[in-house]
Amino acid sequence: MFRYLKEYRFYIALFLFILIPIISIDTTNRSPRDYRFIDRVIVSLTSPIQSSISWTLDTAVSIYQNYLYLFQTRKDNVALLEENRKLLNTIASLREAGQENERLRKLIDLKDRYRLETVAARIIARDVSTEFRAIRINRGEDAGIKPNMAVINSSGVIGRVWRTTKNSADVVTVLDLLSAVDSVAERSRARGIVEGMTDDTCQLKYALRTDDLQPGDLLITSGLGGVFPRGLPVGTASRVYKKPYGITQIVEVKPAVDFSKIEEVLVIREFEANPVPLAEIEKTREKSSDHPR
Amino acid sequence: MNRILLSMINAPLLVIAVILGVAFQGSFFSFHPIDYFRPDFTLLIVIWIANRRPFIEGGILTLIFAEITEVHSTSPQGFFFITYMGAFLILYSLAKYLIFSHRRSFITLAAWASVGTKLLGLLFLRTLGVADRQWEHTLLFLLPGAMVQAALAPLLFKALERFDLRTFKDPRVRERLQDEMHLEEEGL
Repeated sequence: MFRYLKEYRFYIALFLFILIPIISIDTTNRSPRDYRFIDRVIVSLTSPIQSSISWTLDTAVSIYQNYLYLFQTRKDNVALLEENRKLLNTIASLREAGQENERLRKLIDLKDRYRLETVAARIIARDVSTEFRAIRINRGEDAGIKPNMAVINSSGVIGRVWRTTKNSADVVTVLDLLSAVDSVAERSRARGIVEGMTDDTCQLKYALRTDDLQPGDLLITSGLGGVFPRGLPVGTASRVYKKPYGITQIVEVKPAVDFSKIEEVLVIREFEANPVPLAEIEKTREKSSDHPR
Repeated sequence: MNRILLSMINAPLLVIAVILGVAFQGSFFSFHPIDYFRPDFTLLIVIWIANRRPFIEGGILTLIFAEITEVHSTSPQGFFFITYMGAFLILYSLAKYLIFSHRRSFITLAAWASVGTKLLGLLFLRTLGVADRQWEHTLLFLLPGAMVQAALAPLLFKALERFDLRTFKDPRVRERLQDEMHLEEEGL
């Protein structure tokens, strides 16, 4: 027996090396996955490294923007160096704080409108392959994040949680090939499923040929499926093409979120099915400002 | 004894190197626009082991590397197993007939392997029916991907060669070691 195994070990190994990849294929692509024990060990090793690389890069960019920029100014205007340094430093800090405030204010508006219970997280890594467009965030099961939770920012839908570990979670973005978000056109209520296509474009699938869709139409979440609250912006139809035959039309969608610039995200743990009108939120805010605590 | 121990830790260290490489690849190259030049460290190491390792050891390592990479991606399950194992088997067969000893031949190999695995991946995705128009995206990344792989190949292969020499995994060192052991056995 062992003699045969030894004699034919090359062919046995070759058979296994072909068989294992084939049996590892999972055709249930879109359902969320869970990490196995060994995967969790690997991710627990890599996610601190990714966090520290991400932090180092953020710090380096910040140093570049706040210090090297000033260094360049000194070259140009030696006499006003000190004053310029102080002023520009202050402006840079204020601008950064202003932008952060703006981002946070938009997030708070969104939170109020949908009565969302959310967890804020930072992006620490992206997919290792250029073919897929997932992101990894720095919050996981310890923060109450579970697979299939919606991930958004102030501009709209980012994606949904795919799998989690204690301190990190992988998010399938709307740009990813495995993403599918049930959406409706805000103007004509034409329905379809937004799926990922390229690095900056999605496609609206299954929209009927007879549906009224035009470039510039805003697509919002339909609320079906229970992952996303109803009415969140998914993207804008950028190209509509109707073939002379067939029952559907080709619609390219520009996502509402600029994926090259996102840094922070909100993971929705719970939400109100119907959004609260903006006017009502304004009223509540006015009331609370009239009667300070 | 020391030499045997060093040669035994070669594979685990290679696994750790892949873990670190994948972590670096995912986080450092996550920023726009350098994300267009994201390399594939795992593929480069698979190329190396297909040329410098015995079949069974290389195959097992390829499966481990594919698993590590798959944990860091939302690819359909089996994507990296198929592409890396495909690359390993093709490159291993090639290594039987062609000798890749010069640095330039490794650079060419890395570039072609990058193109090959991308096309194999595209074929896999189309078979699963999840990539209607993915070919446009794949074609867009085909050339930059191959160029990045080719640029990184000499650096990484040089480091891996040194690593193999130090851990007594290099075929030349192994042959020398076997000769020494043979001479020792004969009392010379």
